[in-house]
Amino acid sequence: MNIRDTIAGYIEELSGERVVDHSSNLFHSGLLTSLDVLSLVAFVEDTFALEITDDDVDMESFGSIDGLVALVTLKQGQLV
Amino acid sequence: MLLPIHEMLSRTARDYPHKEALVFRNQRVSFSQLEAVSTKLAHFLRAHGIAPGMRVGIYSSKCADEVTAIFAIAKTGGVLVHINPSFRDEKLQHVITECELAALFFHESKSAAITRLQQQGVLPNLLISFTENKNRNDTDALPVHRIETILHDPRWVATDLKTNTAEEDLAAIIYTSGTTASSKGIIVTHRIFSESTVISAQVLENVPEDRLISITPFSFDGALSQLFTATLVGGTLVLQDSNFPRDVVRTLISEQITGFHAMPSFWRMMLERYPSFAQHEFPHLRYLTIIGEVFPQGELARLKQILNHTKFFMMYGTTEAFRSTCLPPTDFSRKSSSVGKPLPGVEIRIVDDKGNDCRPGEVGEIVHSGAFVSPGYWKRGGGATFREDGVHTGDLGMFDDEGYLYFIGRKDTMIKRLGYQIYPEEIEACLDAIDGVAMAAVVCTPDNGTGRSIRAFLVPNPGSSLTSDLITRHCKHHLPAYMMPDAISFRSTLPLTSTCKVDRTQLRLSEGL
Repeated sequence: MNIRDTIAGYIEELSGERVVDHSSNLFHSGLLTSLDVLSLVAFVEDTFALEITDDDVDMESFGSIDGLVALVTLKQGQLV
Repeated sequence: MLLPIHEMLSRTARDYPHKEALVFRNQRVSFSQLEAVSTKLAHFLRAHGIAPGMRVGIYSSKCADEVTAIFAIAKTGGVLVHINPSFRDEKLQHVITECELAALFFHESKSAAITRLQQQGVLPNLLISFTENKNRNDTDALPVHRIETILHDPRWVATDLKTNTAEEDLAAIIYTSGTTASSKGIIVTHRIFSESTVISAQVLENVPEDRLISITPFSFDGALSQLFTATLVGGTLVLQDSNFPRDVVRTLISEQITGFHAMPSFWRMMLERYPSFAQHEFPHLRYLTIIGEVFPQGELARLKQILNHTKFFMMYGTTEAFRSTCLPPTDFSRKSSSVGKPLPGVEIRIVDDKGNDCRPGEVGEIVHSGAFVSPGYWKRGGGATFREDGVHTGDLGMFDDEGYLYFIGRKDTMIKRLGYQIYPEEIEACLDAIDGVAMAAVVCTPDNGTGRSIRAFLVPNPGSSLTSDLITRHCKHHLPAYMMPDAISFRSTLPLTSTCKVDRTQLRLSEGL
């Protein structure tokens, strides 16, 4: 599975709803709450074998599926 | 009479027309602009049948349009019902139905929930959306007015509506959290908003140069209070739609924030999840107001160490009585665990189960009378809370010899064991003070032997080497025997409520207690 599908699948698992618009804000719509952030960080670190620092965790990266895909892609690029 | 909130805006728009009233992302709105758009929106509402006393809802994530709507509703004489954006369908429906909303504003990000409720036929006829992205069409299937279209419509003019607002007119209904059945709407009058705004601005010494960050939803009285004090003095309100610690820190620095209102749980999250917070400097941050729950002393001291030039106002209040007490920053160093003394016009008593006044040092229920008392719950009267002698808050507190109030916890979490009254919050405070404990929760459960047993759940900090022996030793040292936990368990997380407090109900469920 590619990065986008993996992330979208996990968000669906976490929120119980399928997100159609990947640019939409997951927190503003109420699909996720601040309590989900820790699980989301752990998921990204474990699944993609990346290290997420405090400064990576913001709304731009964690607020939407698009943001998460961009973050993972960027981090994977840095690993190479 | 004191100025109602919308007239405060009109006055400030005359005194400081070009001053920044609101900041939201790249958007900057002056007081004259805010006055103009909220008046236009009020004309639209009135033309669509919104008359004084009618309830108008807002269901939205944080954005500038919300503030336009809040003032527009007041200008029509309508009653603001801001619905907590974290409420899901069931509670949203409960509020809409119980308040018989005549109109509902909603943010486009809430379209899915709105569409579901539309299909069930529970929405009011008048729907207005806050739209950020012009290309989106989430709401095309709904009969919805868009706020940007309304504001560009020349039919709606920016001339005064001449609404006569009386002191006891309803200004807002604020819903408490809790289960759907127990979620009650607290009535707030224009007098309460106006008086509390004037008093808050005096106590916090707000000035036009102030730049306040607004982080909690406007469904909380504290968020409204901040909006109105900024409006009264001509200060700027910076709307923050991300609670991520990094984003908040960025805004604090880039917007040169001077005042910040938050609950202890927000600051605990900041300290735990964003250690780099301590490396930043916040030279502009003049004050914090902290309200809503007990702040573990160790963490409060850590926060004060980081923000050593910032004044800390420790406050206490319930929405039923809006604002109750405040500890002035000058007393912070010697009374940091106190929530201070009653605000002007407020009387606070501590009473025992029989209604008699408690002596200093004795714990009892906090009863608030005098200024800021709500007329009661929407459609539910006063219940056991609103009584002749004042608001029985359900909160436990005590006075010290000097008349400073201490907030202990909630009455309904108190249990009796071996004849002693035990407050889980006191045990939690003891556990929170242990090095290596990130979070602690105490649940008291029935037990056939002693009557009750005390279970402690702890989340250790990463890398700490806590053992239950060490915890027991610490407790033996600091707690009387009847308060000793009977069982200590370690967990990697604890369930939290939407306001980041430990969710005891959920904890009981997940632990099978």
